[in-house]
Amino acid sequence: MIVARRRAGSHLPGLTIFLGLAVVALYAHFAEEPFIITLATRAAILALAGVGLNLALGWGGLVSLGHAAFFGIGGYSMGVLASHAQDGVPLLAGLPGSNQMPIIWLTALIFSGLAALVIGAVSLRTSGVYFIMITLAFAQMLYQFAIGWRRYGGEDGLTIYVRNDFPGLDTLQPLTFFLISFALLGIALALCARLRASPFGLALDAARQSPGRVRAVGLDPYRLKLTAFVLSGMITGLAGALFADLNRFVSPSMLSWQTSGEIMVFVILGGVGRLFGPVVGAVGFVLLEHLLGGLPSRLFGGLFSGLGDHWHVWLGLLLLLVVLFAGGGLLGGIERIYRRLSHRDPT
Amino acid sequence: MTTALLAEQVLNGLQLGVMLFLVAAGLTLVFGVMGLINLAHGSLYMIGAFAAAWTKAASGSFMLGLLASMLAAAVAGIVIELLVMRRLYARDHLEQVLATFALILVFSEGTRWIFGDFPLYLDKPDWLSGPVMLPGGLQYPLYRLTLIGVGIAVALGLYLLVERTRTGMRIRAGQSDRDMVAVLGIDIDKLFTLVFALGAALAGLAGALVGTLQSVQVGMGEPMLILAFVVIVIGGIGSIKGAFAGSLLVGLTDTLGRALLPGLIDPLIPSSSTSYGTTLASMLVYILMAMVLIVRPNGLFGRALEQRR
Amino acid sequence: MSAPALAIDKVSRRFGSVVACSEVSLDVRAGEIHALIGPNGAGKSTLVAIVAGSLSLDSGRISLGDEDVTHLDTIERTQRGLGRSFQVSEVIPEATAKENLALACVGRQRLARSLLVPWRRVSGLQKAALEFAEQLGLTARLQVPASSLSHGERRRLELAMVLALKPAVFLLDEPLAGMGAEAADEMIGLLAELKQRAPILLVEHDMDAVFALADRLSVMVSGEVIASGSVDEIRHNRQVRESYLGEDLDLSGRASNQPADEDARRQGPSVA
Repeated sequence: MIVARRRAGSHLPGLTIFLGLAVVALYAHFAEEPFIITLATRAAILALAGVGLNLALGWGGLVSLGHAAFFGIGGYSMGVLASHAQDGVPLLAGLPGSNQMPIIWLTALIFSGLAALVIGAVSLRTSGVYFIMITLAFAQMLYQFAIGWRRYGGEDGLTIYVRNDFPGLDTLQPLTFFLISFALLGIALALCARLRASPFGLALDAARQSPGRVRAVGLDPYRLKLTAFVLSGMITGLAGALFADLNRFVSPSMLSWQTSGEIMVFVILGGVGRLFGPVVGAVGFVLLEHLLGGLPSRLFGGLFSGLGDHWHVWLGLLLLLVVLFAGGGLLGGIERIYRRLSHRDPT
Repeated sequence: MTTALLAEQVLNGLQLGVMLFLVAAGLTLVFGVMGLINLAHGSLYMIGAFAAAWTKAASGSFMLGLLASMLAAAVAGIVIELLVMRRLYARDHLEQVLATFALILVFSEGTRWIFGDFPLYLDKPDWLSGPVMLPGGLQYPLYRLTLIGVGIAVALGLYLLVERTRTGMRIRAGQSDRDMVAVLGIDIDKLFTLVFALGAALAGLAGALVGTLQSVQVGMGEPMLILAFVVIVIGGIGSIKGAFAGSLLVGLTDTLGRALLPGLIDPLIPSSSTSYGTTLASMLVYILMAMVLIVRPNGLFGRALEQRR
Repeated sequence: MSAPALAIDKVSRRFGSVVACSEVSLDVRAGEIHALIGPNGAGKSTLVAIVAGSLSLDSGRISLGDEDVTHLDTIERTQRGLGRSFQVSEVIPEATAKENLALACVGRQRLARSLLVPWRRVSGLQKAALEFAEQLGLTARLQVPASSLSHGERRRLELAMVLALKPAVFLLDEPLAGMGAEAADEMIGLLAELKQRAPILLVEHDMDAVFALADRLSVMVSGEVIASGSVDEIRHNRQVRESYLGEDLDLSGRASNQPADEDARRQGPSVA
């Protein structure tokens, strides 16, 4: 299946929003508004999850409705390691748990990568609709596994009381944790930019549009897509570990179909296939969540009192309208405005 | 595990299977004829359940509730078919996924807005309650047995509809070649609406029937939807025969797995907190799906695509 | 005598009760253009797909040089020297002509494992892409997305990509399909040059091109090769004349009456 995508004009609008996120966090730090820093961190982490999905979805053309699987594996990597460190109980064969972020991240990367390898190897033998349904099913499988895993909280989830450590930094400081997340996001974006420009990226993009042609030049679309899927899963997995750290909580909901859907929604709204699309989408999503979701219900009476509580209805309607009537996503729209403002030609 | 208990589990598996079939049939029909993947199918299931609960509470009649479930789901189906689905047939699957996901959001939150967060209860009528004595001395709930009967009846009915009626012929034609059907002068719009409404009604009925067994609440549709996807993948998309075979396979595997595995696995991996047998059992159908895919990437009865190496 | 570059040995294939290919045998030797002609529905497309590796055969063998490739897929055959072009241009629509050519070079040089170096900086890659573009007169259109190219340009890009593979044998499926007279003549000139690099199995409907280019000719009708030989032999073969070429065939090679497929050249891709 083909994901129609305009050739990205300029990265400038997206880059601006990316940097703007850091500006907002810094400002909030000096204005002593830690809650805003937390929001910015949330946006950065969700953006990272989206960057992972976008690699598979936007560039590889793989509609994965099960990326929550990797998000959740990352989260549980953190949860399992940290809870053992917290309790002092050894993990497996005498290995202790850990509350060191680098170790947790490495674990998250390895396990989400392995999961992506297995899931991808099976799912990529199919295509189109099958792929969508299968990825969704595998995520659901892990969701049910997590619910049954009462050792680590089961349905109620697992709370980690103290934020994990990073050598040399005070991770409890909101700004510090934001900068860690932001830095990882930046690295992921740079990595994706490199991947896209590489021969691999060229071949992957071609495989999305015409697997037959790719085979006819002696390259294997299956291997290309599997590689992309694994990398994609790893990036989203890393985001999951950060997310669990941010909230100091991990639960099966990180593996739910709703989570898969939400990540996909903001990746699309931000502009699927564009490098900074997930950043724009995540920022928009967090803003919407905060503004609409936080609307005090006593502002309106009667029928409208549910406005804020049920903000998902408005998200759904908005998404519906966007899909049916617009194209290119939010970032495309922003780009059009930017271009019109500066009378610049897209290259 | 005694023979009686085993037989009971087999029947439970069949009951789950036929209910899954009601949901999966609509899904696979819609994909086969219109090429549309519809995530909101679970919402139609939910709408059927809520309509039945509300109607039963208002009228006292279970049968009226069932009727209402099919009507409400069909009407909801027709409305979204006209407003949304029509515009999606020509789009790619990603857009279909997003739009129908948006519909889930609207329906789920909308239902929560109207009915609140707490589950509704739908009681089975007295004349369907109580056990039935089966040959061999097994006592089995009448209600569940009825469900099995309903499911088989629906399967038969669908078979007759698709294979023996003119409408069914048009449906089959539409499955093979959509454009040709339009060219032949058959009103393709009406056909699509009909197919969609039929699938919706079946889903709504399933929602009401299963909702009676469990509960009626927002979010009840999606787990069924995902299981229905597993069914379709196993059975082969677009194939009703495949949906039937797949549903029974999934229903039996899941039920028997949950009944037998804990007894087998837990003694091997003792744990104070987690029953690994139960956990494995909950993953069993997905493992089954993976195994089928490895051997048959298009499902058991899936239409064979061009042979490609 | 060394093995032919491409050997198709008694290949058969049926779809249900329809026999698409029946014991088809032909080979392509070094330095030659072997053309395959036949009316629509003769089974040429099926044979092309089988040779390319995208369709399996029921019985028979395909060999590239000394190697039996019957059980290998398209990817592996391409890596072993098969270069095919598609009847309906398969170029990457969103990518520019240059990127398309770079893709072919990436394929040939097995560079897809390179994940972190920008392809534009891989030494020789851009130059190679430019070189092949030049050979097919596409230098001016390098930055244009393939979807915006004209039909003729796209056919040329398609051919350039095959060239970039530096294959050991070419499998060209109606390269002149849908081209106007001038573009077709240019293409004929290109193809004549091409056989210096590697032999060609040319599937074509355009009789002018076939008679101008072919060293050998095979005629396929209803799944069978009914005649095979030099151009002269085929032109004088009565069975061929009756079933395909038509009686009033001008012996100089310019067919004045081509009843069945007159329009094929002008119309574009056909189903054979």
